[in-house]
Amino acid sequence: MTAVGSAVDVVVVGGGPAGMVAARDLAGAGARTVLVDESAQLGGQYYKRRSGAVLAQAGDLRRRGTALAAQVHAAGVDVRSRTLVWGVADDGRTLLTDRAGEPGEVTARLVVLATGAHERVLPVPGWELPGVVTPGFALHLATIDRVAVGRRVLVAGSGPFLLPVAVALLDVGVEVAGVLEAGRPYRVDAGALGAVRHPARVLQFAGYRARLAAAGVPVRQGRRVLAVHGTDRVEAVTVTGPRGEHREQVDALALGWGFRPSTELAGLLGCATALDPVSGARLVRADDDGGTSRPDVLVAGEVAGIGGVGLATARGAQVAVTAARRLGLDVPAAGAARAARAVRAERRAADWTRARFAVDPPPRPAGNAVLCRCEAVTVAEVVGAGTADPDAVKGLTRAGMGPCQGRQCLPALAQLGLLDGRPAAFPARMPVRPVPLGVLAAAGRALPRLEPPHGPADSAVPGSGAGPTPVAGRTGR
Amino acid sequence: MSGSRPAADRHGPPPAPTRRRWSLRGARATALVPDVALEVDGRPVPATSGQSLLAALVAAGAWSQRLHPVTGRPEAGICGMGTCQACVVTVAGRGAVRACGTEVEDGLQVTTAAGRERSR
Repeated sequence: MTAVGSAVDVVVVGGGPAGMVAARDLAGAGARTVLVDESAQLGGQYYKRRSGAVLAQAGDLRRRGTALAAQVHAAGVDVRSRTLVWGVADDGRTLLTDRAGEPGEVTARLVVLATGAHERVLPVPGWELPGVVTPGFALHLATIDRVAVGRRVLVAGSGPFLLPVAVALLDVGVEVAGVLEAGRPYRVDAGALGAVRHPARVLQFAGYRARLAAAGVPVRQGRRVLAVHGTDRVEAVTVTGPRGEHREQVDALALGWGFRPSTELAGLLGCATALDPVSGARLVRADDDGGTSRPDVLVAGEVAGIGGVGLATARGAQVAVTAARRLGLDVPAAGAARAARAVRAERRAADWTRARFAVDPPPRPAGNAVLCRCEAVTVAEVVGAGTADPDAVKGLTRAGMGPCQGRQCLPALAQLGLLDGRPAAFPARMPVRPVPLGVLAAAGRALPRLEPPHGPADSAVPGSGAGPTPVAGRTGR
Repeated sequence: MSGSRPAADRHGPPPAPTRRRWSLRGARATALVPDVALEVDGRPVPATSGQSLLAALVAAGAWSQRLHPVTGRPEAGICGMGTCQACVVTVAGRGAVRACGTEVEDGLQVTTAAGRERSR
């Protein structure tokens, strides 16, 4: 690991499409670049790659990602895999890392956050049963591991992601009971005319739908899962239908409502955030060029706003231009203009898609559903706490105190807050990812001053920003 | 992806790995040939190197992976990416690990909640 004081030019956090492109381009422009990534190999979630005998037997699923990873290494990026960033020190100039229990740190002039997104799951009663999975997990099981998540599986929630997940399940022999889309994105109306501006996207939807139709898989719009049933495993789900509710016998349920930017590290660094009026989530306030409220912190990819791999890749290239300029490196004007154009075009397509998938009325999680999976706290208990202050919710109900640090319950909390007019979000705390106590202890010895630089600055949610947060509350340091 | 293959589902899954898929019926994946053997709760479970331990557990139908620390009910991984902690199992010599972040290896001895329940 880099010794204290030997700063590099840029540290990129996250090895998905945006992080790989940003790191490759920055190293190519002459910046000393470190790329920190949690996984064993680069790719992130989108370009998650097969390995071992699965790769040998089933082939490379992500050739584009493999090529990109090779370019990152060839460009001379100092790639630190299996390494997660759990905290910051030195007013955010130093990132604290953990590599399988081995503590480390990186000090850089600029930080590029490409921390990606989490799946957004809204709770329904019974979703804590084994066999309920996120669509992304069902997909990776099918594509990366070649394992069927169940024999008969329902895919439900909302978002463009549900269709390809259902197709991937067919490919591993799953009987897909159906795709339930809560919105009505595929309706034909005035808004659908916008499709002519995004032909590639529409063609892809059509391709998935044709594939599902050929397999006899119904795609139902305006439908939801109301409850999951079973004793030790999913046995059935209750879903809404045209003539009231009915039950589907399934042994697994893939349930997801799109994605939520992983903004924990940005919050810890004190980047200003703004409220997303659709999901209730707090998003990092970022300029088109990737700049945040902190001149030494930039964002790229899904953490800057959900838009998919095309937008993430474009933002990766754009943020490399911005970072290179801030470092005083030469950036060809033509390349910079191309990067900016790509971001604009991809964002238009992403905005159109998001508008098509708007769900009206927005879903309200049922009172008897478990909201906080870690601490087994129900929606009703959280609503009953009668407060909008997330720390108060934590103190009164324990919701958000578990090891997932609120990542799983935040979408529901934000959704409830939005519906009730009281947005909620937990302030980021160290460690932002679970790390061994030994790592914390070693960091504590090396860096006595371990305070986050700022409380989360927040323009859109008055009164909910907390002051500087104590360190590592759960670990008893 | 610099526009080479615009994806409708911008967040996830990519187009098919190969072109063969353009038969609408689709091609069933050929089954993998196992090359490692795990021991899950005392039973042999075949797996293919490169798979995650969680995938091997799912393939073996081992869905009672952990007992919930508060409710005591069996639970299993929901996210597959290290967030939920519900797939934490015991691996001999390593202690508690997240199955999603562990690669299968020959001879790996795994104890799940179901195994602990049985041995009680």
